[in-house]
Amino acid sequence: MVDGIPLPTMDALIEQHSTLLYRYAYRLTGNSHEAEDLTQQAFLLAQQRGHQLRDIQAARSWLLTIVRNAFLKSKRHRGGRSLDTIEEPPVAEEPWNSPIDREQLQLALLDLSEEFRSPLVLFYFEDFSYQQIAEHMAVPIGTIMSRLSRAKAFLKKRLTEVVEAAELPRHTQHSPAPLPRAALTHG
Amino acid sequence: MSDESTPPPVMTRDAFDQGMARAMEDVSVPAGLIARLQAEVSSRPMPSAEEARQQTGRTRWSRRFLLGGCAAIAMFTAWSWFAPNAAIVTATDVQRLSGLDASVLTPAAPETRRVLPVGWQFVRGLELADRLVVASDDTLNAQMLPLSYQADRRSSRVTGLLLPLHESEWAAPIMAGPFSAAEVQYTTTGTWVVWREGTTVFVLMLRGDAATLERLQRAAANRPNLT
Repeated sequence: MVDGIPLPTMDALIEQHSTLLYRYAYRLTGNSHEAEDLTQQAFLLAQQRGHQLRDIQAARSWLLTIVRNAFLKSKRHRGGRSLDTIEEPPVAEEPWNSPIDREQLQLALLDLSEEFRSPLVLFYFEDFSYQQIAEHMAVPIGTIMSRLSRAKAFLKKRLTEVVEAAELPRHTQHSPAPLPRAALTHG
Repeated sequence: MSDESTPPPVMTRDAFDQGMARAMEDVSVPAGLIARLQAEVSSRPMPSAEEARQQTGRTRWSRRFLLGGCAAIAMFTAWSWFAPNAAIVTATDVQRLSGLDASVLTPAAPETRRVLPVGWQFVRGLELADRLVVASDDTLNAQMLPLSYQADRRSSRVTGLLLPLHESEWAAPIMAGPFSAAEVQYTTTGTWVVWREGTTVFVLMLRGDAATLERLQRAAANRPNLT
């Protein structure tokens, strides 16, 4: 067991993981100040609780868990859409051929509840496996696969609507196209 | 996909996934972030593991002190009574545990063995976590299995916790009997049942209503017989 984390090791952890933690925190909160605040909290907690880290190689996952827990303990995660009643996507889908705007993506992410947002972010960050995401969120792997499937279907629909709105002939646009609310069926 | 636990690498995913991966990581990191974090961390004194444990102890004592001397003495007496034995789990503990969010509990060590009720691997709509989670305080160290259950496609998926105990760790005597016959009881966040299979007592806490738990009981009773 590591008995506390020496400062040089903390510096190395910060250099190695701060970008990932910040990006994860940003995608959870959608706000740069809150993301930096969560990232800082994570490293300060890591310093205080270094004795809990049994394997320095597991630091990445441990630090991400600290960020998520700090996020969950705050009130920032309230709201968002739960997709419990949204159907799994059909097997055959139209091929995607449009660039994805990072800001539109963030708006769509914030419309998802945290239980769907977190696995999505981890899935696309650094190729986290389903197993790693399931362990990170302490839920069964089947639940993660189901949430990912539904969250991806939701995002695809939302982003498709954005692309279609942007492609409308100019004379039909009265103002810059806002992100349309998804017309997804509940229940 | 040959291994369902591993998603395909980004470059072999479809165009949407590749676009998502690029957009997801396209987050501008503020200039000087690393230096600010390092400065903040180095400005704080670093407690040793022993100091951290002592600090935790002081916090707990302060809270108890605020609750009043009598409460502290009562707690100490209760703790002293049970300390020589394994922790005894009561219905009151179940109420407390049922309110916990499994996603913020500490995962148990990977080598910790799962103990499952008979046939639960085959219950339709029931998903069991691969790893236990731990909830502990001064008097209890509960290792529980997170799970979720969806009765059918029109129903919402509900989450729950399964607490396996040795029969000596459950506060009340309990007759052996199947899960499907256990009486549904209520918590502030949902429902629970307790039953015994051999020397193992199972406590299932579900964040769902009685009808959902009863459907799970029926599904377990009607599971495919694979033996």
